[in-house]
Amino acid sequence: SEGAACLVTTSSHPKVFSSGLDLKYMAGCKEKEDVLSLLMETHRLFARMLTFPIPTIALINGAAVAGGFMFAMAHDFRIMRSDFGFCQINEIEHGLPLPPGMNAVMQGKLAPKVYRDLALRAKKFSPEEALKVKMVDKIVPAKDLISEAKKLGEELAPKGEVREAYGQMKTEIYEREFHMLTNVGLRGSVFGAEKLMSMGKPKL
Amino acid sequence: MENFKLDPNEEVVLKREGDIFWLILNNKMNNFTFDFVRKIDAKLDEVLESKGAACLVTTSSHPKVFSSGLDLRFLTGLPHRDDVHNFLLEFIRLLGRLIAFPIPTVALINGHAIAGGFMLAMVHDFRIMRNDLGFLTLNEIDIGMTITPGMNAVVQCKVDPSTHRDILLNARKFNSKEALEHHIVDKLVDMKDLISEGRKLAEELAPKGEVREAYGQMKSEIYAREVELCTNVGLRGALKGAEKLVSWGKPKL
Repeated sequence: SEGAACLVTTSSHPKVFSSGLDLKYMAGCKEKEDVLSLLMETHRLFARMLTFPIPTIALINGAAVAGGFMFAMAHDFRIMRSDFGFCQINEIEHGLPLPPGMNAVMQGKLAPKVYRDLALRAKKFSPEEALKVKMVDKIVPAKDLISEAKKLGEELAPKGEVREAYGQMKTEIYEREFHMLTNVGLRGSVFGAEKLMSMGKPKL
Repeated sequence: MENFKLDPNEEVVLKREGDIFWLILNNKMNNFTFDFVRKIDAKLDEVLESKGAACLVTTSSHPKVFSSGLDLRFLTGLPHRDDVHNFLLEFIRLLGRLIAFPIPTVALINGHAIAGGFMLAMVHDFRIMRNDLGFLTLNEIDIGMTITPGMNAVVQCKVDPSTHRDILLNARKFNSKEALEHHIVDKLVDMKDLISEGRKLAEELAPKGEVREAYGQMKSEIYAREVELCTNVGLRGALKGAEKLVSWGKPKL
């Protein structure tokens, strides 16, 4: 497409935006390298979304956990359902690390204290709390989610008219995050792959 | 401190209570010298000999002071400017070690936290402060001193931009209420409850430190820039200010 445009992302599940990486899939991976590849490819998707050259809105219709929350953060704006759902990064509760890119995509958009509570305490943020700390921009009842997104989308779309400008601006704003997502690899978080593979296995 | 039996000759005390490691600075106003930094470092080594869930809680035995920073008499008495460089870099490395320490950390601010003392409080994950006494300040600019990259970074990363501007460029003094409002500290409590509140928070946080590798790696990522500036970058533009410190101690002729 060309010209004014806005992307609105949401989920068809009644209670979940996204709960992150597919644990059953990772449990089925034969090699650790396959899990690492998935992580790197997810990073590249986040990087692409983060710098997408038109306005983007995440419509958080329910729980947004781990990779699902990160995906929501990679959007420019977030509208969340007010009556149900939460935002959480629960990696530390599973003894999992955070790869540099995933860390960056969240840290870049949140106040230091909020991010500390999110990552180091695995704090669950209710819709009200998320609004208060500016993790999301607006909270609305479920029945109004789509109409609110349409309203905001129509307001934002003209900003994406000159794709080159909007894209370049986001590339500048999120330069560090983009670099962490695309050029830096997994660094000290590689050990998490084995844990991820074991988490999806059925308990005997 | 009623709760702990402290040997007055032991400048840095480490007491283990279940999963909680109490690090008590017991050296008057806890001014940093080579010796004091190394004693703290040694206690941190001791903490890391443990395994599993743990939380470090740092406080001071002085009735009114958490720490008043680098020992200026010590600093200006050093014989050569390279000693000043070395000392500053060693203190900064301690800051870098603490900011990414692989277990949860809490600073119980029992009084004034000035300059290096303020930085020490900031490199902890959480801060609980007494509500009735004490202020936090970086007073470098008031004495015409520069700020080293690492020292700046560990404060800057934990506060919002306008607060940091006030802290560094205005040498603003924050009392406990202001510190809470500006998100410099997390909670204010009565002095009599400081230890018990610290214990309560530490017991809640300790399980997050169960998998040290994960907690440490997470902090290394969150604070990657700060650790880099504390360990790999030297004094940069603060070099001149550091050298000025050497001339201070010299008698006027």
